[in-house]
Amino acid sequence: MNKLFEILRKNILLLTRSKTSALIVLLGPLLLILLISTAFNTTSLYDIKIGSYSDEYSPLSESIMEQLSADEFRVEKLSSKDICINSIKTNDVHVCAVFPSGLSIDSKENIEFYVDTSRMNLVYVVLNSVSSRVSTKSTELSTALTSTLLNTIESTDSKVSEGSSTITQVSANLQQIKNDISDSLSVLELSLNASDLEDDAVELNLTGDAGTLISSYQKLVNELDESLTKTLGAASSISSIEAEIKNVQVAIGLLSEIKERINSIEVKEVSKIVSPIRTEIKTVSSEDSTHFTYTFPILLVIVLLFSGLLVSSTAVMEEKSSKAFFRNFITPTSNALFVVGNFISNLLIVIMQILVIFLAMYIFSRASIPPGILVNLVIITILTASIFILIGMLIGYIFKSGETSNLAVITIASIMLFFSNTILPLETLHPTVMSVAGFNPFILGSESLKEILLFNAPLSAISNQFYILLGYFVVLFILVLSVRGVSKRRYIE
Amino acid sequence: MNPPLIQFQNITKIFNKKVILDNVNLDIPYGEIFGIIGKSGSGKTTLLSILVGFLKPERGKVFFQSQDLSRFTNNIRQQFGFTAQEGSFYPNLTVRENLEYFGTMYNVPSFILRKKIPEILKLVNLAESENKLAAFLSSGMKKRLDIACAILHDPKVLILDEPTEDLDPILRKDILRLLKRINKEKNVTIILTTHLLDEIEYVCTRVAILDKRTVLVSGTASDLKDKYSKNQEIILQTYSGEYKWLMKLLEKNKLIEDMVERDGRLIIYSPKAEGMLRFILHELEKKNERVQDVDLNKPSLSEVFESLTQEDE
Repeated sequence: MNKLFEILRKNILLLTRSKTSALIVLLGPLLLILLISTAFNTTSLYDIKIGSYSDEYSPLSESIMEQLSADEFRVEKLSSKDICINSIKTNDVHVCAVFPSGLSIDSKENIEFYVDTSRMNLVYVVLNSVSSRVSTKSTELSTALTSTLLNTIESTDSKVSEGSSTITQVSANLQQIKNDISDSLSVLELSLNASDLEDDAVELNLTGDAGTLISSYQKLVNELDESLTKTLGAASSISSIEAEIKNVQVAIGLLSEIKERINSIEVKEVSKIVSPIRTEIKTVSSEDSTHFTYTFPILLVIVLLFSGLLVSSTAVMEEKSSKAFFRNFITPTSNALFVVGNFISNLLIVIMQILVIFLAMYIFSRASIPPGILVNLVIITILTASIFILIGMLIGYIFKSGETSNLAVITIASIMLFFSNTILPLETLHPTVMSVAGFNPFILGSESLKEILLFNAPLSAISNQFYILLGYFVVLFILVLSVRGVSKRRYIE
Repeated sequence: MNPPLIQFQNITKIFNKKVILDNVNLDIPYGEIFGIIGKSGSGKTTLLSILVGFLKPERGKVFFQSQDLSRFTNNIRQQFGFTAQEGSFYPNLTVRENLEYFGTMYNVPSFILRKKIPEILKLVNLAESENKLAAFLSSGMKKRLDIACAILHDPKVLILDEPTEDLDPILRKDILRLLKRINKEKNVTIILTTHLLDEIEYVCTRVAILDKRTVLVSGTASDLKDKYSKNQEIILQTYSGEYKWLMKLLEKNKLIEDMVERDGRLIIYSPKAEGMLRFILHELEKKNERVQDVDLNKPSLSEVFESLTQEDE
């Protein structure tokens, strides 16, 4: 234990004596986190340039462009389609939008967006953003059209209701008239026999005024009889009224049917007609998360990767090139103790860097770590750092010079970085490569940290990653021990 | 007769199919200052590395106090102190920090170290520089610090590989005196390699000559001189200091091995030095040359070394 402490003390003293090393150890991560937290502490895209071209800009195309420039995009009208497309190639614009001539809602042509798919990390973000803006405009137009349509239907409905009630009233009136006529006719159904009256007048030998009166009466009765006959003849028209009433009732039925159909339209909200299926994207992480929050786990692992590999490989290389290396070898101190001592020293340095990062994170972005995840966070961070440190030590012992060792560090770090989700999603890789890349300590570490930091995952939820990392640790430690023994021989040669 | 402290038995060491040491046999007695002489690349450092357990021989064994070193390496390591050609310490640690670190690595308990460090610093004359960074020490001080690191744990054997390499003559003498002092005061057997033969004669009680992958001879410097030198040296100084005529006269003489004029003296090497001296004095008398000083010496170790290694070639 005394020896281990002395090795640690010696390593820390050597580090602090070298001002530049100490400065890099402390200021390196601080600078990194400062820059990244400032740069990524946002949810927006900046300075995205859209080139546009149209043979004839219409109010609609202008309004779409306005919509785009109202957000984070800079829209620039270009003089030709070719210039617009070429501007993407020269990276002057990120997207080229070609609007059909005189774009209107009746246009059958599409708006064309040209993008440079070689900028894979940007193109989908930009496209998504542009599409969402255009889609917003399209929804606005659709809403307006649907709204007009619905208003017309509503107005028709009310007119139909109004007409329907009038017609119903007309039908009722006609029925009433028909009934009245029928009643009147039934009252008029009496027999007027004037001949009997004449016979009586003859029998009574009524002459003079009485006879004249009877004659007049008889005449009146005859006229009445004639009128009655005529009226009864007109009664046949009642059946025509009935037929008309039936027609009116058919019309009422049709209007009712129209009204019923209009009323049967259940969805009358414009928004529901425009987009009947509503989607809402909800994040599983905190709503106020920024790019920095999302990138922090990866950022942390990148710092662990580079500092772990570089610090440990450099420390081993310095130890190997140190004049004291020989004396260390001949002292009665085991290989394992030197390896453990150097490993812990490197780990302390990396832990110091991690503390600086967390402190900087707290200062610059006010982000704090919930106490509940602290233990898991520490375990995974230290385990991940340990693996990178052991890889760095391995490189240090395997390679003969600082230059080759640094090259090896850069190569290994690049491989780990490329075969991770940092540059391209793993899903873009060939399935076999993807399954192998899944064992990349960088991925294991960053995914575990992401789950802990963003979703407060317990250790049991990341047990697979944890055991694989633990396995790496054991294997690498044994390898470092063996390689240190071999490096002793190579040192002599 | 006491058994030797260290015994190399039939040691053979091969690097990349190249034989560096071939069947080396050597005994190193207790309490001696033992010098190993050899040309560059003769395998001196390899031999010492095998002794401290840093290398393992392909064949043969090394015994320390009759114990096989390959079996007890870790325990026996404690009995050795080693200084390599270049100082084996951390330049960015102070003198004291280096001693504390290596003392601990050599299993010296901290309470003993606290007493021991001032004592060692005094012995190697670094007491006033204990808080100086090793990087800022002079060459001689660095060498003394290296020796201090090697003797801190009271080893029975102190091994030094080219201890005076790159030092000026005054510092060399300083280091050699220190070694004698350590040998005497701490009763430490010292084994050193060098190609500066004057030093060996000055400090070593026993010498081994290593050449062509093996030990050619070993013994006291005096024995070796007596046994292996073909020539003796005549050192002649005349008042006139004019030796050209004499050199011309002697150059065809088969009994003259070599001649050199240095600092107004003529040094002549001859296997029959006494007869040759008589002849030279006779010739000087004939020329009326007055002799200021004349000396007849045994050969130097350098001459023995040259004679043995050239003979071998």
